Amino acid sequence: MTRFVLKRILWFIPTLLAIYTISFALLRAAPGSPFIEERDMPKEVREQRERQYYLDKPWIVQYGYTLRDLATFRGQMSMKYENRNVIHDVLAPAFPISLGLGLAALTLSVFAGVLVGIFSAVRRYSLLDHLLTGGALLGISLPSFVIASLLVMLFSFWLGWLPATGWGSWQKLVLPVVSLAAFPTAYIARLTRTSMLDVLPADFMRTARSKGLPGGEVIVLHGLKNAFLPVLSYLGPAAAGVFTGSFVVEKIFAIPGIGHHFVQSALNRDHPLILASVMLYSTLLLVMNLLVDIGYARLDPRIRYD
Amino acid sequence: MPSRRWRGLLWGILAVCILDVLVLAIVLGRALEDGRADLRFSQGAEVATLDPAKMTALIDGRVASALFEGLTVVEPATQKARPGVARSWDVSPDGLVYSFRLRDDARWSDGSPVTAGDFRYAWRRALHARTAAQYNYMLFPIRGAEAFAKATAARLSGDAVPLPDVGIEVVSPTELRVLLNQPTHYFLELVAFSTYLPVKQSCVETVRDGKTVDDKQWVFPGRIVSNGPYVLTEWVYKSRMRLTKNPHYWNRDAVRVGTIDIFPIEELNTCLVGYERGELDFITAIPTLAAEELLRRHKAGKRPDFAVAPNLGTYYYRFNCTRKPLDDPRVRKALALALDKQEIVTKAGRIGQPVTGVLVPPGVPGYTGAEGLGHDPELARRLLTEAGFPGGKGFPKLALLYNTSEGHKKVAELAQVSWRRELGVTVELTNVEWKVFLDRCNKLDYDVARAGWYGDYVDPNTFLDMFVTGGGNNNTGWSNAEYDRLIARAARTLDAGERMRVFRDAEVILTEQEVPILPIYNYVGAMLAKPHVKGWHPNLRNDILFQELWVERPEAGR
Amino acid sequence: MTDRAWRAEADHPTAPVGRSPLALGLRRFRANRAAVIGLGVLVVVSLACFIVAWTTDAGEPVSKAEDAAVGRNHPWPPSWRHPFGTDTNGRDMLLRTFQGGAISLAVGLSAAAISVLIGTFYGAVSGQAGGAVDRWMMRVVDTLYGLPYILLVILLLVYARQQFWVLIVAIGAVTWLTMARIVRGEVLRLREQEYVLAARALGAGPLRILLRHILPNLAGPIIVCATLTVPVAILQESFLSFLGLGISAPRTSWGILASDAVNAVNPVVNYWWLLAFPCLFLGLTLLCLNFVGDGLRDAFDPKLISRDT
Repeated sequence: MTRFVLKRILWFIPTLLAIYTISFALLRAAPGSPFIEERDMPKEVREQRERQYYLDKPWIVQYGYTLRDLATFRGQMSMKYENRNVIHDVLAPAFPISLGLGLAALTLSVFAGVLVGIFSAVRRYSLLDHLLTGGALLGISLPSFVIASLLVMLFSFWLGWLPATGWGSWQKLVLPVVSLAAFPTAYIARLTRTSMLDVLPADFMRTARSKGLPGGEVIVLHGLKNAFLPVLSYLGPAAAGVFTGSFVVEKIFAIPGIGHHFVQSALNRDHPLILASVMLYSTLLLVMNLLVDIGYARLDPRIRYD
Repeated sequence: MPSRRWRGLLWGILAVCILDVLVLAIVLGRALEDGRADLRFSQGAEVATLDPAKMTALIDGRVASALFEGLTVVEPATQKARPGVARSWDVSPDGLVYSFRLRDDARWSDGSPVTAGDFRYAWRRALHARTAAQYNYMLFPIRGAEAFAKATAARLSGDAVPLPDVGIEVVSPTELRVLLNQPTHYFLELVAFSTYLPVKQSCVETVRDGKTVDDKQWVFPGRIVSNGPYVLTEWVYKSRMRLTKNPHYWNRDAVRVGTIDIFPIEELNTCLVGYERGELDFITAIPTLAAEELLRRHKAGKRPDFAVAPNLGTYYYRFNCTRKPLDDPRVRKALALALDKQEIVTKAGRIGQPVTGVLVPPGVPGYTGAEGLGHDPELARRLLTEAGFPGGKGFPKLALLYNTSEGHKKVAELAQVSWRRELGVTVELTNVEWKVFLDRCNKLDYDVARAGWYGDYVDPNTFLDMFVTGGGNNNTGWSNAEYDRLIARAARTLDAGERMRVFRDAEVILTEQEVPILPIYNYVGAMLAKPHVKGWHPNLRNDILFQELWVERPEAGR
Repeated sequence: MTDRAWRAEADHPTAPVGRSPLALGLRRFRANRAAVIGLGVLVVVSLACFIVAWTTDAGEPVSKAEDAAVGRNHPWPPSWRHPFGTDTNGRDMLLRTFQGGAISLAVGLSAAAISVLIGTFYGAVSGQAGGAVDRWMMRVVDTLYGLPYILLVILLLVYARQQFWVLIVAIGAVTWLTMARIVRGEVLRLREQEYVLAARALGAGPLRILLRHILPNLAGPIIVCATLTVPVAILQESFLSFLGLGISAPRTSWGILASDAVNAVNPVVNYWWLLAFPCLFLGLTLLCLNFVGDGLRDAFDPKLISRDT
């Protein structure tokens, strides 16, 4: 197991390097200088700024320097927010916020999704099942910005229960986390329900029940074990989705997280910020996938990694 | 019985939950508390920069006028200059020499006095190519300023050219003399503009590797030294900016709002919900459909907290005059005459924007603009036939370019329908993001492009001098010698009335004869403020002077 | 069985011996009511959308005469003449919703098609090749998984002017990864089946095995995955529309309609029909796609098949 983990961690480096290379190539090949402004900038000034970002040097040199700036966490100055270092001033403060939001959304979606899935599987075809399944399906059938906006109108304005803007107190976090968790919850609920339904009539469930274990414990202990595997393997892409979805949620609820920076930096052609965001995001995903695979390996004795 | 494997999983889940709670606790713990501000304000997007020399956006300018004070201050209601750091001034009879006498009680927020030297430093810095100030041309009325800017640019690329003198003289620490190229009637208003704001040299500069350079972080709280009614005590990016009353400001007794929180909220709906719920006291970012309804209710007397005022700005379309068939003025006129601007204002604008056929908005004192072209589809069709495209036959598809925005899209869609309906001309819409849009406009890579312009000062020049041959903001490929001559003449004209007449003649060429641009409507600015917020009024330049506001019930709670 | 019984069986078959997996799957699918209803709704909605998009003009507003007759500014609430109301520019919302549906469905189906093409090819080659080639090909997939696709897509959209095709390719370029993984998994499994081993023993080359034996059996999982990719693609399209990277005006999609309408429901006004109808159709379509996809998956699941026969 340790060897497996170590090998995976070692693989991070070439993977990240490949990701960096692809992104770098796309950026430098994209048409248009990042320093276009509404009024003409004197040529000399633009050249000076380009020099600041090694843009005047041959691309292989740029590649190396930028990589060094990233790897050593020195970071470069953002092209758009000129006074801010992309790593220290832009991403570092925003990262814990997005992480907190994302983790909360994931945790909520796992718990809520699994619970909903269990109930709807157990009380199959009942009214509760239909309601829960219906709700779950709604979560994967509507775009997240629609869900977020409707939640704001419903809970913030019409009912007045929760604040609309900002992120300072736990009340302010409820709506963003729920919006972000909507899709994964629904997906996990469906996964759980399907897996539970697969397992419920199965032989060993019958055996377990016949052994005299009370009904509830049977379902939870034995059914869930089987059902949890697909959920676990979904957590990897779920994390990816949560971080992408965070852009919408952060924009609507005015939360200063990294999700917003990913997209804005691309639209602004802010090369250092784009590269830093890409690397941050990729590292997160790789770590997340590794954790998921570790969990998977520990749970399923049929799967062996070496 | 949970096996060992499962116990591991349960521990894992527990660990994740604890981590989660920890992260959230950290996040919330670092969250912004320290009490509610006296005024909670939002103008939509976050400020791009607080460096007065570098800022270009209106929202940046609002914060700048709270943090810094220039020689003069422009009153929002009258748009006239009143004394700021300069307590009085003299203008020479030929209008070329301005002598400003500064207050001796004007102080920076660190207690040191504001001197004429600070202004000289700030202005030269704004001109210097190293600063890359986009608005450096605002300083060009000053003698030698443009040459100076060019010389510093040449020096940056290695040419050892001499630096020319600039007409900014420090006569004494409290007297500043400025020499102009030509009489500039709006100069007193101009020196209130953000590019002319003073900055303290010792705050801005720092020594790095033995060289003196600009400290890129000088604008941040804790380092920034400002001379205006407020100081920047906190700036959590994209979260909150807090301004606190400057104890060293000379007019501090007149400043009644102690702390102001500025929240950057990009989503207009969220901003409005926040205002309606009482989380915000004063907003300028309002979704169009809501603003329309608010205006209706306001007129019925039901929403006194809403106000709307004409702004000094114009929304227009540019024609690429280097491309066929747009190089023919008849074609351009036809397009201008056929466009149903009233429909655009009703369906897309929605808050009573006035339709316009000219570039300079109403509200410039002493100026009577040209008539412009009206709405005459019949004439448009005749012109198009004359130009060789009867009924639109043979007319190539026009590419209409705009930067991504719901508002611009709606206008473009209506224009598309208008031209198809009246002229049989097919238009294809393309939206690109802002940077690409600017690039394509600069490169003349479009047929028709959306444009908008807010006047930097209340004078026709700020609008009309854009379209001289080769002007940086021309971007139409249009060039007219007579127009250039008229604009240059206006700059030299001493007599105010004569000058305005010259501008009018120029505008006639621009909007009636040649029509390289298609003005559509003039901007209108909307604001929403709770009843307890006083001292604000929507105005021509959409300014907000925070030092003039006061709050009548500043107690906690909604 | 005795000799006679065998022959009797052969002459008068009672059990459906020898039915193809496809037929069995279809029968099971038909039994799933939700899936069948979903499919029906999908067909109806798609037909309506494509017909409307084909025959009407995008962006054509209500006539000026009607504007004058009604007197009020758009958007108009639902009425007999305009069952879904009109939008802010005066276009009939029913037409807009269906026109938008045509684009959304086109984007979804095309992106899924691209993802099928690339993913199947890639996964099949990888699975069939096996060994080091397979490992490296999957490493590439893993690498691409780690790339935040939204940046790729935005940069791609910045390059190209003709946005519709780029949009499809961009979305398809991301969803093929899952398809490739699934196909590879299936190919690996099928490779070990008896009939494949038999074919290999008889001397059939890898290409022939791939084409004649493996690919036909992939149809099931591919169809399932493709059907479940379409809703993903449509949701991604609406996300991109929210960012302003969608189809250019005046063409519209459900994503564009929804993101434009989000500001139409605010504390001051409530133009609910601008949001409700596009979201209703969007949600309904995605729901049905999910039902059908689930139904297909249940119908063609090898585990279930083996349990039945």
